[in-house]
Amino acid sequence: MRYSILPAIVLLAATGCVNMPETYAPPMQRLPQAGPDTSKLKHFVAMNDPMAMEHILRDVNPSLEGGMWRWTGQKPTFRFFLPTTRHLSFVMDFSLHADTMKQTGPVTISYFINGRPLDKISYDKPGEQHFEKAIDPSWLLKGSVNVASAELDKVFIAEADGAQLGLILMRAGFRE
Amino acid sequence: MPQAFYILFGAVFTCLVSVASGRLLLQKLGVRLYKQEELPFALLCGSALLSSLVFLLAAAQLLYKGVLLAAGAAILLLAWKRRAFRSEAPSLSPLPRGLLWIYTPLALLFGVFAFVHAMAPETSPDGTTYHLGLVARYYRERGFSFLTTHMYANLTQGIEMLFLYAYAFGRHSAAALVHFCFLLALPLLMVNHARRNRFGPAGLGAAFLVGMSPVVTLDGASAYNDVAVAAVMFGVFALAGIWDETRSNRLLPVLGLLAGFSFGSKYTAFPALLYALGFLFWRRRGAAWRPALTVLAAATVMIAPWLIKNSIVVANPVSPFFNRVFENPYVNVSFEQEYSQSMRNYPGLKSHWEIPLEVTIRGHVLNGVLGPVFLLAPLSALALRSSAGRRLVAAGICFGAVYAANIGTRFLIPSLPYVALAMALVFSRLRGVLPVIVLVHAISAWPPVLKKYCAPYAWRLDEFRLRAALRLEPEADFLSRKWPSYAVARMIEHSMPPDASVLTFIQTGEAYTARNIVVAYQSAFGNELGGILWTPLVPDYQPVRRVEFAFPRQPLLGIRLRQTSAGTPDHWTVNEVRLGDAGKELPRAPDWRLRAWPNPWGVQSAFDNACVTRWSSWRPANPDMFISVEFPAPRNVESVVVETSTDVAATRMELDGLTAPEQWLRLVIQPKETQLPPPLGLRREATQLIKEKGIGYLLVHENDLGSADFAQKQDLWGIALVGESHGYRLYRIQ
Repeated sequence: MRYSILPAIVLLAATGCVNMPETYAPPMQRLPQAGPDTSKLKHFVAMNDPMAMEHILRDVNPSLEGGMWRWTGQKPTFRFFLPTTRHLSFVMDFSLHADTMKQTGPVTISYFINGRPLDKISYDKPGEQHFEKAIDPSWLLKGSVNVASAELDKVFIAEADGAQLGLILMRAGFRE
Repeated sequence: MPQAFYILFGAVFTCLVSVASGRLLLQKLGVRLYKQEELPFALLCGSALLSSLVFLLAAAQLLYKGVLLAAGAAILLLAWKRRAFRSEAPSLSPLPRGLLWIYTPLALLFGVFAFVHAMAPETSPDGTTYHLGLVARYYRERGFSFLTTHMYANLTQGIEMLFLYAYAFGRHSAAALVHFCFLLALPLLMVNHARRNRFGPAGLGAAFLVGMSPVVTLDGASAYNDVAVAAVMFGVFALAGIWDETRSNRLLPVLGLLAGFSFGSKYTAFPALLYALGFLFWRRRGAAWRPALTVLAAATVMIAPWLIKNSIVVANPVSPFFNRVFENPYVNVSFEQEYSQSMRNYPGLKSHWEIPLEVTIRGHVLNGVLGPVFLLAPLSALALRSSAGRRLVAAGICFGAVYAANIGTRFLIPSLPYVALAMALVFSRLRGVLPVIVLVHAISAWPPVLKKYCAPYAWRLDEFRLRAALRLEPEADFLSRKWPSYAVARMIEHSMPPDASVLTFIQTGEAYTARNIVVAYQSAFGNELGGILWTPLVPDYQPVRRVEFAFPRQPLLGIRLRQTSAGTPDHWTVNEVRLGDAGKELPRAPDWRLRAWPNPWGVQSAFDNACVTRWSSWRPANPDMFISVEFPAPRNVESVVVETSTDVAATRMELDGLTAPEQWLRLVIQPKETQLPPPLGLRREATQLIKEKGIGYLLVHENDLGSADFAQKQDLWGIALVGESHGYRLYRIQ
């Protein structure tokens, strides 16, 4: 009978004998599949990115609002560097302000890539919007700068100073 | 026909060796039973012994057909030499002949149907995936391997060891027939218990209620283990009663053996050991310590091997559970929580009030039906009027107590014999009622009748598979026609080289292929691979948040990121941690020491410069979580950047600096957050990483996340379609 607890002791001993390291060294460093980032320009930019203004060609207010977004004018236009052109979509996240829409009514936005019309969409309600559309690789320049723009059919015009307000833009660019 | 012979040989040989082992043990211990009790108890005890023998052979990498055959032959020879099959035991009181005339044809009808189903090629969901998938793997590899990617390999597998023995000779169907043997043993044990306690006719009726219950019949005719476990547990119950009656201490080692075998066959059968010990203390009060220790010692012999195996292989004796207690890199805490939750709440069940109808009549959501007669189960409470009834109800509650942990119908099987016996005790008080109920049950459980009222996709016996059972229809033809998983498994077998591994998101027929299948949900490794593969598909997993901790440049011995949120369900995840000085990132040096809590094993994922990997806490965020880097000597640091994702927005971080040994100083409370562009090339990076981790193929079902993306963007993923079957696509990673 005194040996009857032996298996339990063996079990407990086995449970405690697993030894695992407490610390680890940094592993092998991986390289990005899209290649090293040698350009100041990226394929995508958020408006709170410190490099955002490098990507803006026209009609986007330099002032960052709420740490997140910027007002656009009628035809916000951007430039992006594309290391690859396969299976890319153009993406834009923005918001339509209820107050501006009171004046403008529904807004139609035409999207262009390197001057080619990509899409045309009407928005009749305020709030956050996500635009995403795949692009034919033949429209794009690989390893080069590409231009994307969004043209609003009408913008809000402030009575006081005549300032034009289009979209509340959060981010835009290309993604796979 | 030769295949049918091997199947029968495998099953019969396994059962014979089990019975012989059991007879030798009972003979050696001098256990005295009634003649009718000897065979089923010999089967149960012998199964425990044979299961242990196979475990030892598997641990010693000795799973060869010759070794198994020789061991079995030696046991049979020893039993023959010691005349262990000879019985001089007295018989139990006979059963009324009239009842036997009613019940025998029913036994034959259901018995033959179930036997033929068991002998036909295996098509059960769990049988063809993990029960026999692991059995086939062990046999192929001549024993256990350090398998850390398959949570089902960490469960106790006492019954599967018997399947393994039979599989060596007759493959899948031989294993299912071994289970069928327990389907016969369970009703026999019930009848014997009733006869010994002088309610034989009621026991006979109860045995038929259980044996003909649709879920019991199908489970027992498949390579599952529920019916076998229920039989072993009933053996514990019955043997405890015999010990109470005879007070023979010779029974105690057998009681312990069976109680231990219950747990050694299924974790959820642990109440059998509690019942045995509780019964001893109840009946002997203060004098129960010595008998209890005997029972415990015998049980430990059956339980310990599994716990030790798990301790050695996956660092957790009761894996895949209790991972918070036994922290390990093989099963994540979050998986355990989600898995346990899913077992308690099957999708499709709107309310637990639906369970009674679901488990008795519908059977689709909870997989199988007991039969409508069991709607009368609450009447079994009336059995509390007798002492036998009270004991049955107590056992039923004890063995059924774990049902809440998994509400599938078949998890009621362990408590079903006690419910049926108690019901039968009640009905037998009314003359002629019990046989009528048994007949109604038989009619309602007969497969052609059953399909008229249960849910169309309820798990049930459907057809009489005689041609397939006898292999008059070739096994491959039958399985290709009836079981899509088989075709998928064969596609894997034909399209992949022998040493290749495939990653998949749902189980498939691994019992029919020798290739290594890694299922994403079945291990921490699988979780990691799944996360890598999903990152390109789910924008919320991508490293698009840049959290910067800037502070005055200073020499530090290390930095520590602490997560400070509490009460959020979000896991804390970190894609990359980058340290900066003089406006540049510090190159990561080999002498840096990285730590994390929890999941210390995954910390390198936050320092590998890969966009598709990330360290995760794998449990809801808590303020005790951290990631730290320590340097061998002080070095200047002025910033720490954490790249993380948007799915963990509720987590918060603070930064500490190690200014002197053991002296952590808070450096930054409010970091600055900006957004990063979603990286390009994620798909290719994901598949390359997975390939580096030993996975050469992906098996994607049409309902899997991103299945269309895999199909349409093969060039981005760097994969090529090599096979397609029943909604599955098999891709080779290039």
